[in-house]
Formats: sequence, structure tokens, C-alpha cells
Amino acid sequence: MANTLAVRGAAAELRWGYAKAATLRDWSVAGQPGAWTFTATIIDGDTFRVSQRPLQVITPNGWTWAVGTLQIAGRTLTASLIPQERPHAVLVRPT
Amino acid sequence: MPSWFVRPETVRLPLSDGQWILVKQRLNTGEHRAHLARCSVVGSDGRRRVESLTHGLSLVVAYLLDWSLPDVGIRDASEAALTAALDNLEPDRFVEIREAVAAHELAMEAARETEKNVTGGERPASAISPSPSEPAGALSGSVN
Repeated sequence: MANTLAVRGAAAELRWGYAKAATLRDWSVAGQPGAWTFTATIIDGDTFRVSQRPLQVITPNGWTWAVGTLQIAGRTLTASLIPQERPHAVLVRPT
Repeated sequence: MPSWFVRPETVRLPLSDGQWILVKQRLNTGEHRAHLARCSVVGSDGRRRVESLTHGLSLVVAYLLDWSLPDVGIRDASEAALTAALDNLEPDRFVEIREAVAAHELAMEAARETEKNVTGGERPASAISPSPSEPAGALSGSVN
């Protein structure tokens, strides 16, 4: 398939505002522009917060994705992502 | 009708020297209970009392999410790490942060009261009177 991408990571969080909704492990993002799917294993979660919107996925290196639709089956979370990737902060210092 | 749940929204409060803190707009019930548990003790009479010495620190820990201070990052810090960072501040700087958070809490309480009055959110009169034996005021004590 042309123009596809897959990214994987060990840790991530699902958040509702500043509040942690779920701790995630072994995540991956796959798909193509406009149709990204996030998949992860849920380690622990707050049922109320997971049911709220908007939600975001945040990785330890600062990648942030807004969640579109979300499904949970057992301990597997699958979400469509809204294109909105940005790092928390990028420090640029003059050399 | 406004939501009965607290949305996890934030407010940035300005400090001196151009610094700022990012705080929770409002505490939810769980966060408020954790705050009271941190800053209170059960006396010999079985009643829980707020400790003035720890109330200010607990209030700041409850609200604070991030700050602009460059030396120590606190975003997503554990309660222990956040407490350690606060304990290493210059005392007058901690007082400035504590007072900013306390003023914010008062402003949010006032806004909440106004919101309830505007939307008619008063509680209906109880059909059953409380028991005379029900203890009044589970918490007592002064706070700083």
C-alpha cells in the first residue's frame, strides 16, 4: 500500500483535559494521511473519564493526538485520530 | 442545565517577575477530598480538624499543574515530587504561589455561587428534616 506509515511506542496516556483517563502500553499508530488508527493495551483506566470528550493521546516524548472515535474491547483500545500532532515544547537555543 | 461534573479545565495565573502558574479551574469532589485528607488529622475526640500548617501546601498541591519556573519542571509530576519542588522554593515565593491559588479558589467559589443563582441551581427544600443527633461540621479549625 502506498503512502502508509506505522509508529509504535511503549507508553502513552489517554487524557481528558489535564486528567488522566487511562494508562496505555504497547501502542501503535498506523494508516495514511486523514485516516490514522491508534491501538494500545489499557493498563488501567477511569471509566467515567474515558467516556468523556474531548480526549487526547499523549506520549512521553510529547506527541499529542486528538481522539475522534474510540472503541474498547477487553483491554484493547482502538481510536481514530484527528490530525493535530504537536510536541509539548520545542526548545531552540542559539549556539 | 449546566453539568453536575467538573470539567478538567485550566487557568493560568500571573506571578511576579513575569512568571506564571497553570492551575485547575476547579477541584472535583475526589480532588477536594484528597486535599482535605492531606491537610487534616483526626483528633482524640474522633473529629477531623484542618491543620493550618499543611493546609496551604495541600491547597497548592491540589491545584498546581505547571509553572514557568525554568529550574524544575513539574508538569505531570507525582504528588511527592511536586511537594518536594514546592518545599525547595524561597519561602516568600511559596507564599506568593499559595496566595495566588487561594485567591483563585475564592474567585471560583464566588463564580460558582453566581452560576447557581443565575441558573436556579439551588437545592430543593428537604422533605425530611436532618436527625438532631447528626454531627454538625465534620471539619473545624483555622487555616492559613
